[in-house]
Amino acid sequence: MVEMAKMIVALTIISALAGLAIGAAYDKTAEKIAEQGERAKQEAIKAVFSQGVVIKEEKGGGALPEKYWSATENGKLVGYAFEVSERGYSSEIKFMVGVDQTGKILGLSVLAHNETPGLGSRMTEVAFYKYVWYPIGGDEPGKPWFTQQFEGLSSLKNIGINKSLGEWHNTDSATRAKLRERNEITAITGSTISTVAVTKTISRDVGGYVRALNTLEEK
Amino acid sequence: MNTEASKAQAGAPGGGAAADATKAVRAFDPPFLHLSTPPHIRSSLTVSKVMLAVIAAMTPALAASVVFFGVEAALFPILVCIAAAVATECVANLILRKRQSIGDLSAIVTGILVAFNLPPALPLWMAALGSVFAIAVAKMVFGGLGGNFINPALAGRAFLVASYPAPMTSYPPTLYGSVNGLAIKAAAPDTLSDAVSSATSTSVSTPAVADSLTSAIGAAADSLADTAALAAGKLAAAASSVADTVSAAAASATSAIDAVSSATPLYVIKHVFAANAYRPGDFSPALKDLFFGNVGGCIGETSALALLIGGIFLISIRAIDFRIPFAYIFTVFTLFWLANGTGAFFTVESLIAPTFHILAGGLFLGAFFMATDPVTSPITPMGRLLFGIGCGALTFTIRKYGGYPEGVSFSILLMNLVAPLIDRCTRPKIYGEVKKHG
Amino acid sequence: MASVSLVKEIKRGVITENPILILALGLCPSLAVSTSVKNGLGMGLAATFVLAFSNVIISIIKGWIPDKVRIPCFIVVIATFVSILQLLIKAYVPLLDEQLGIFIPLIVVNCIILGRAEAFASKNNPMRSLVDGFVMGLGFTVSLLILSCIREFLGSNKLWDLLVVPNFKPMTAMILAPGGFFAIAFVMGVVNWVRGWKKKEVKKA
Repeated sequence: MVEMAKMIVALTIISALAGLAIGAAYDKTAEKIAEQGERAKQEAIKAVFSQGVVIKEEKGGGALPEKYWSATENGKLVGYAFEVSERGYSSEIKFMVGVDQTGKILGLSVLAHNETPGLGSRMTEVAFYKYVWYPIGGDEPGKPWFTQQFEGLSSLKNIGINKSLGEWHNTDSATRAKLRERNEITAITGSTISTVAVTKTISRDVGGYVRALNTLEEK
Repeated sequence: MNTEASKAQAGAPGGGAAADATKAVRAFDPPFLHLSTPPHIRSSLTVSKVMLAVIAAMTPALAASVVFFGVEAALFPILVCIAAAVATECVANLILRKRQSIGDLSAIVTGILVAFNLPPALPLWMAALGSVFAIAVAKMVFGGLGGNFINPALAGRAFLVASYPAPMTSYPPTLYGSVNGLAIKAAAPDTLSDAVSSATSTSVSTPAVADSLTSAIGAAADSLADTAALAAGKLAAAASSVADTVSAAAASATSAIDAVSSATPLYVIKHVFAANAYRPGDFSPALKDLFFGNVGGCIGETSALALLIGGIFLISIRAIDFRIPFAYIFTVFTLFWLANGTGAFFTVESLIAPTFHILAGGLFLGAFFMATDPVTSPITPMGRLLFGIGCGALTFTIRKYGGYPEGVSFSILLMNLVAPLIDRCTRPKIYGEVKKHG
Repeated sequence: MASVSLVKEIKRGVITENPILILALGLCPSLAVSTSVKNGLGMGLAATFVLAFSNVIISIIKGWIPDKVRIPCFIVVIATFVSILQLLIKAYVPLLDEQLGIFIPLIVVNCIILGRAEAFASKNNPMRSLVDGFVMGLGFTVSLLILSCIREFLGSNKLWDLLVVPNFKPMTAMILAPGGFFAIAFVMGVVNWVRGWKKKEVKKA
């Protein structure tokens, strides 16, 4: 009986102290954590527009998503950003799309995914990396080619997938211009499903949002 | 006899009883009774002889692969795989300080089988890597021949598919232009017409596609490594309408196909004729191609005829047991017959789908050469039947319901893992063995 | 006296009693996290932090813990430190939180930490427990680094996210689960081989 009491008391005291410690740590860090979350979102949105835009969060609803962002530069409205997600091959692909009022895609940035390494995960593959031998200096890696090829395409029309021209980072500017004209992108070799998920979502969801916004503005 | 013995005894009074006894026994030794230690039944069959027979059986398939894919795309990977396998086994034996076992030729067989499981024109270093992995990790680490628990060639292929998924799943067409032998054109209007009409894309009108194809040919010099461009060039003349409808499907279907770079027959079945709503009539033109081998796929699996010849040869010389291939092929045939697309069961049409499935993909290769690996398959006759049935059932399930178009390699690997269990369950009862309960 | 034994302790933690390669503890997080050197280093440092501090605290309160409930008590202490660690990481190094994800809370059930608490901290004084926790964590980090270097280089041709060899097509299987097993098996094999030598040397001498 005494033994049982000892056990209960010991566990209770230890747990209470533990709770106090965690509570104190939580207090100290809660603000910073919220800040980090915000910053990550802002970074993601800034990535889809050019530098120097001011982001404002808007409330949507109805045909629009709950939350979306508008971007202004020097007081003029530059475009909107929407966060969309779609099931890819093996996971939800979350990405941020920046469009202007005419539905032209200004930028695309993949936020989170869990696609197959070597296949679908090449969505975030950058054309070149720095080498371990000279990590400082030289060119910055730049944007992933997969998301970069969406810039300039229209989200209001269907985005086609062209498989006969190879991957975008291997094409020349004439071919790229042609692709842009036809509202097409090139797929990642072997990951059609991930590619199609992205294009489908853009033309379906983002196009829908842009149309909804335009009709709202007309009113 | 007695006189001889007594003579010997009498003739050596002080020589010692042992010497006398030996002499007596030797004198008594009848000419036809030799006492010796087991084994008493000897055969001239050795491991290397069996391996030679297997290599001979694989020669028709080897020849067929060279015929359909050319020397560079087919023969070079095979030679590289053999060389890498033998070298790896040699080095592994040196490191592990064991007797050199390359004389039993099993490394050559493994090397050929690894190569048979690879797509043609795979970079040679990749083929060598698969071979090295197959021998070093799947075989030597576990003790060499007889110690492996899964088929080394399939383990090598699985490693390569996990490591280099894109090159390992892009199958160039044969030298005679066929990628998948299927009359997609015939099927296209019906199954893909919905997709075409619903596609609002302007990117897939015929002029646009032909345009991009010709520019692809022009760019082929720059992107020779891009097999899609090469294949596009080869198919351009005949397949512009096919690519047309296909890219329309790609634009609007959730699981698109790549008609240009990897549409083997099974791939087309899985992704184009979604949920097996195909019409069996679409397959009949393909059957001839599948049987003789003018079809895209892995190096060794294209010609069903060549593999059949080799398999029957092996069965006839009793190098492999007929039960495993027979059970495997029969199960796949039956399951696809029960699930054929026509709805009827006793018509000629209903046999087309199962025939297609046993001829397509690496089924004959797997059934005759890989599932029958004596180390990784059950020993008992009943066990072998169960093994074959299990492989067949798994292949059917993966091909029909799974995410991969080809199910043979995974089904054999899975059944390899279960083989010891099958052996235990099908152990023959010893006559007179007492039952544990009653 | 203290400094000499520190060197000895480090040798013990990193070489002769390396948690992953010799004691074979904590293999699950090793497999999952050793896909890149950044992750490996982050996980190693995180685990070292938890290990050292929980060892100290457990050693201090070891007198008051009844024997029958010692495991739950250890877990509570360890979980406290892991929670504090997770909050700190989320606040100051959110990138690491993204990369390691669920493996930070899983440090609670890392066998190394519970194992050392049970085998060492509950029987020794706080100073020695602190040192033990630190060197075990160091050994964990070192072997994680070795594994991560191998896997990241072979599996994605990178080290610390920077490319290594131009035109080398990496084997993606090495950064997937099977590659983790192969890497650990290979490194353990080499370690055992070397130990076999050493034993032969000792026998000869």
